[in-house]
Amino acid sequence: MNHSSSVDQPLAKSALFAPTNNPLLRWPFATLVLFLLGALTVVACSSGASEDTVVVFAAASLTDAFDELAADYERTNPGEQVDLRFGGSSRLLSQLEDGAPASVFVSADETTMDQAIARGVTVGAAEPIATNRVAVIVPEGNPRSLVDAADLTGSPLIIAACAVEVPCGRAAEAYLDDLDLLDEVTITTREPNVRAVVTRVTTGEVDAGLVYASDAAQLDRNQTLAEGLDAGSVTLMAATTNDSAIARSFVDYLRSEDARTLLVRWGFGEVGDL
Amino acid sequence: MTSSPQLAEPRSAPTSRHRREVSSLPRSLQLVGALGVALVLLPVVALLQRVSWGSLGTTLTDPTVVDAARVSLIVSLAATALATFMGVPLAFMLARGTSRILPLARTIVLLPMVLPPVVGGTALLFALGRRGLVGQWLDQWFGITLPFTTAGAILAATYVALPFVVTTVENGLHQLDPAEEELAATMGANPRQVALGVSLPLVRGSVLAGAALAWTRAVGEFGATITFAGNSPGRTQTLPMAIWLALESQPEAALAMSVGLLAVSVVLLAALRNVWMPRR
Repeated sequence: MNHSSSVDQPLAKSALFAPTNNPLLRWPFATLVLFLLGALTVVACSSGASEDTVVVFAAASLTDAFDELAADYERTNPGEQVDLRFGGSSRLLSQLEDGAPASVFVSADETTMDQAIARGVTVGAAEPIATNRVAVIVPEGNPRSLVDAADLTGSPLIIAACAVEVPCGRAAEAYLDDLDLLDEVTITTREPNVRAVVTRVTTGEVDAGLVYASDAAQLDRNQTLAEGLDAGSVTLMAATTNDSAIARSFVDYLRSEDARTLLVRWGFGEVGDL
Repeated sequence: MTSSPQLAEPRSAPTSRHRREVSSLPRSLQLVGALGVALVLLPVVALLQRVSWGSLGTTLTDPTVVDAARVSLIVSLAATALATFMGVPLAFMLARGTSRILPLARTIVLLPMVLPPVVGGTALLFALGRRGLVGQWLDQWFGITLPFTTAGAILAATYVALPFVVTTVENGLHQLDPAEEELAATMGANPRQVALGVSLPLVRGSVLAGAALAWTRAVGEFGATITFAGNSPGRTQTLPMAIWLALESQPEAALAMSVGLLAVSVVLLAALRNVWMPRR
């Protein structure tokens, strides 16, 4: 092979462009159509939602809790599967409006669920499943030695919060407003969802972050500076977005005692608490 | 990318011959080509059809939009300048150097072009973030923190734009006739004089094309910037970022900004068509 490669190379190249008997090359258009049909078949087969799978669009703050909840649901409902997608509530809602194939929508606050209802995305009533509050968190070891929320106004700090477009951003604003700190605290970066804020804090890129109590609960206790009470608290809402039995069944599960216990263990508040 | 401008190429074939070639194209080719045109055209039409023209002016003069446009302009121009400043010498190294590690160096330099921008941003964060490999020393010794600053956004945009300058200029250099450089050298020009006095003027078209490509890439930058420099209104929030966020709550504003960027892109394409299109 090697010894004659320098001679073979030009020959091989010209053969590639010479008239060919290969039917795939002789009818490129037909080949392309065949290829497209094949690709479409694959896509159609893979995106067809199975009857025993429930696709759930859930607020980013529920990421870890819902992984466990879904596993628990699948254990008690053999044969059924939960397919979870997480993101900022508002982004999930706009995806639902654009026809994203989900059966259940769980928003981080009532405002977003009200928008979903108003825009006709939901089917049936929206149910409260848990509550959450604002928490101020710092990186491990609290490098800036912050003591409480009032310290956020101090020397130039890098602070992360959610964008006001998403529930956690609105909650953070309400929290700061309640403490009369809204105009004094400068938010350096506005992240698209609460998990992004948590990551900014845990990687030490920012000095403090405004997140939810359920996120703070996953960190070391010393990393939570302060928690909000009423101001900035939110109620997580769940609703079905189609009338499939499995969607209904999953929302019912979310309101069950089992689900409540799990959610509380992940740092969420019970619905009656507010 | 590989079809960099061939400025050295002499003007060939009169236009009439070109026309004839087009009309004799196989039908299948024309059909598939038309499909491609439709794919690009359809979203543009949809954008123009959905935007509310009446309120376009008010939306585009909104402080948030003006801030984002200002940041976009500063960041993309600074990134283009930096990428050109570093990219041209780099292209000379790659095109004229003899070292054996150059192929490896080229692969590394071109990496940001194929790497998903989010990966680039993540890598930058772990390199130059406050706890990063080098960033921690910048922070401790000089008190310099790059993330969440305009400088950080410029850095991220430079990172993704650099390869476009390098490849374009390197291609230009490869197409030069080595005789001219050799002649200058035999006449006693030192390497610096050859590079700056002979080669650089000859590839100025490629430098311009590379800078233009880098600029468009920098204007469109999103992933690396939001990952590394965050979303800081007035400092790192560029137009693409503002559009992405507005899409959640104010789709009208997102549409207006998109149309604004679209107009800029069309003007840019028209102005630079001689740089991008191979001359006929």
